[in-house]
Amino acid sequence: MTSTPDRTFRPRGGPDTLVDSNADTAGVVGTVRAVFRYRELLKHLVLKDLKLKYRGSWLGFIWSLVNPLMMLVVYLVAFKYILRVRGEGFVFLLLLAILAWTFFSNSLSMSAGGIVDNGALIKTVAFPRAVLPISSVLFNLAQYLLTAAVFIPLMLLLHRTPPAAPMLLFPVFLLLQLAFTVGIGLALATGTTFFRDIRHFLEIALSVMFWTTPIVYDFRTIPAAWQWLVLLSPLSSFVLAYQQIFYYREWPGAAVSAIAFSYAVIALSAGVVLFSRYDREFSEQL
Amino acid sequence: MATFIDIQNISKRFLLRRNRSGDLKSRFLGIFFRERREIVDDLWALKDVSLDVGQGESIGLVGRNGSGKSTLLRVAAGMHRPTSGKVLTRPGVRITTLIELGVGFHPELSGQENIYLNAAIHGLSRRHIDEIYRDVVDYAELSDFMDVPLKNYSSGMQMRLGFAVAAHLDPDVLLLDEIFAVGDEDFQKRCLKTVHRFLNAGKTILFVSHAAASVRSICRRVCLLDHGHLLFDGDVDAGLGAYHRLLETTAAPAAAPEPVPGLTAAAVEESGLRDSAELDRAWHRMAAGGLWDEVGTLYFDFLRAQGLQPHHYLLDVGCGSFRLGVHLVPYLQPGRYIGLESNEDLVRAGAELELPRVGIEPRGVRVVISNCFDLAGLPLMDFAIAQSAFTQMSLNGIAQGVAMVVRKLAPGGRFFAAYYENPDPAAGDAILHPGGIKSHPDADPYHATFAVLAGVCAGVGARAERVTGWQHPQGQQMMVITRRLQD
Repeated sequence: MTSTPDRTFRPRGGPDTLVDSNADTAGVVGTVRAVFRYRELLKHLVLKDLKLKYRGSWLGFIWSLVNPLMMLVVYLVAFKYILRVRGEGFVFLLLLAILAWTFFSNSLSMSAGGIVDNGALIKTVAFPRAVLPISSVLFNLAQYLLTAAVFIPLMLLLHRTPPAAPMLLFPVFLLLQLAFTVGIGLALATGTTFFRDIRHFLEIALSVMFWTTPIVYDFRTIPAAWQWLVLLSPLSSFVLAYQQIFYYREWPGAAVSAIAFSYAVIALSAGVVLFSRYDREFSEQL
Repeated sequence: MATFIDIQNISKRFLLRRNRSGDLKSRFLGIFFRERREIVDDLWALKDVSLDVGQGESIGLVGRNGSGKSTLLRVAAGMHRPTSGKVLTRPGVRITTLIELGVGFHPELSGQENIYLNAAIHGLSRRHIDEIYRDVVDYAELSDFMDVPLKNYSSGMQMRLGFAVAAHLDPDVLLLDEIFAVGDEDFQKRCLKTVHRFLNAGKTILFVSHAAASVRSICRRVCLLDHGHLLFDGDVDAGLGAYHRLLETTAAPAAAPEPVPGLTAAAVEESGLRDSAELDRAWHRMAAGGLWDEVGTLYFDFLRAQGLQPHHYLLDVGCGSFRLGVHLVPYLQPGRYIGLESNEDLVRAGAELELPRVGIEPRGVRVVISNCFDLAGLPLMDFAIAQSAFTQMSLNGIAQGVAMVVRKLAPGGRFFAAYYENPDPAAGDAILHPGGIKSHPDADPYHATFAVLAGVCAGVGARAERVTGWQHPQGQQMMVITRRLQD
């Protein structure tokens, strides 16, 4: 019933010209290169999410502005008028922090499911899997930019703040936050594929982090002994940088810059390494 | 001809997790209850497969369900990491995998948006998509619907759109799973035409299919996979022929087995043992636990009640001295009874003393002497029976045995096995059965709970069920094991 394999001789192009697609060295470099090659897909995934989010709703994009506005009003009433935490420029500082926080936490919640929620895609098409969690982060970046483009100029106008040189650093810190978020997003997407518990843990971790980040309180009002602890909380350095740049109109401090930079580099490289190590195993886990 | 994909000695193991919930609760319970424990099993979807795909080749991958075709396609595409072996690809060669049409289609997006998204998923650049967009729309004959959300398309329109994109992806190598099967005849014709156009342009294709006609029309080379092994690689006609023979042996085992050499003729006269009562004291009958005739008849009647017909193939696992064989060999058509036994002395005693006593020529009885269930070369079985083999085997042995026997079952084939049941999982002591036989959890004769045995079977891709209405004089229970079909 069986024939012995009948392999006819085939001349080969020298084996040196073929590459092992599974080689470990192909991992990190390969992932980065492949994501760049699939940038068109990245763009379409982000566009798809943006289009679908408000398609069919009456207010459409305005919802993106209403959400942070409502949060702002709630915290404003709670802290300024009920708890009577008086502070200069509370609204402006709060808004900068809320926008950055929303970008961060929504990105992580979405990218944690970037692999497990796309089982059908992963099992039927070979494309760089990193595109999925990265597109979740970029979608939230787009949302952030759209809302920030409305709110930040508005606040500068209301506070009669003239433009200042430190504001030029905004893109740099935003880029650092993006790298930081992409790194964590890649790691979470990998982890959730193997341990679904991570999503539940993430929810708790995010609600703790909300309070360890200077969002609803002013960093300068907390005791000096606690400042280091708050500063080391994942998103604090970025939030503080935005507040320094736009509200205080000063150059971000050395500690803040150093922490933001190292967090971004460490998270991004760890995320990419972890993801490239395991992305070939995703299709078996779904 | 340049090699585009070089698959070198690929093996792929999947871990099958039984009882999987993986949560803390089940892990905790698993510490105390063996049957709650997660069992991780190996499934070798591919074993040492080598294949090189040269430029301009059209290769058909054929094989039965679960033979590893799609796994091979996915490994070649880089979607699965092989457990061992290498996949080498030529840099710069664009490889596209089509396992499904319209992947990533979203019902809320318009036809145009879906074309761009779907093409981007397959790795096309913006410029490339812009170039083919007009052709895709024309090919799908949907130019009036491009701004309509996909949810308002009929399923036929959605399929047309998916195929139109696929037809314009234009890779260097196409890894194609059987996507034609879903459409009507007209659709299939269009698919074939497109594939031919693709091949005429000198492109390369690796095509997974069940349909001989499609393979014949597309492929110049056929690779036959079975149970993860590459059985054949070569000419289309020979490959499809081998594939059909494989299907036939599955459907109706017809190959006549030859007698196994090594079974010597009997010297009955010299033995002098004619009387059954005297024989009962002979060692080979004692080894079977006594009650020779009674139990042999019991099994024979049981098998016939289960639907055993003379034309069936039957494997007697642990056939011993043919306690059951003396009934089955005359009943079944010649060559359809096959015994399996690890103890050659028992078989010899049976061949010399028992078979001739009922007028059976031992040379015509096929017996495999093996202690590792080596069933290679045997036809597929409609029935298998383990009279009390399981009572003499550890769980590891049973797992191996079930795995090997179940593989040899024809579709619908059943493997009956008697065993001593431990009704109380908490008790760890010996159990006394009718007839004074004592079974142990850790020594021959063994007992086990049904759940544990069923778990062992499940671990090797088999399903075990209790058989009711079975009355064994020494209290053995009966279960039936069937192959669990893989999807």
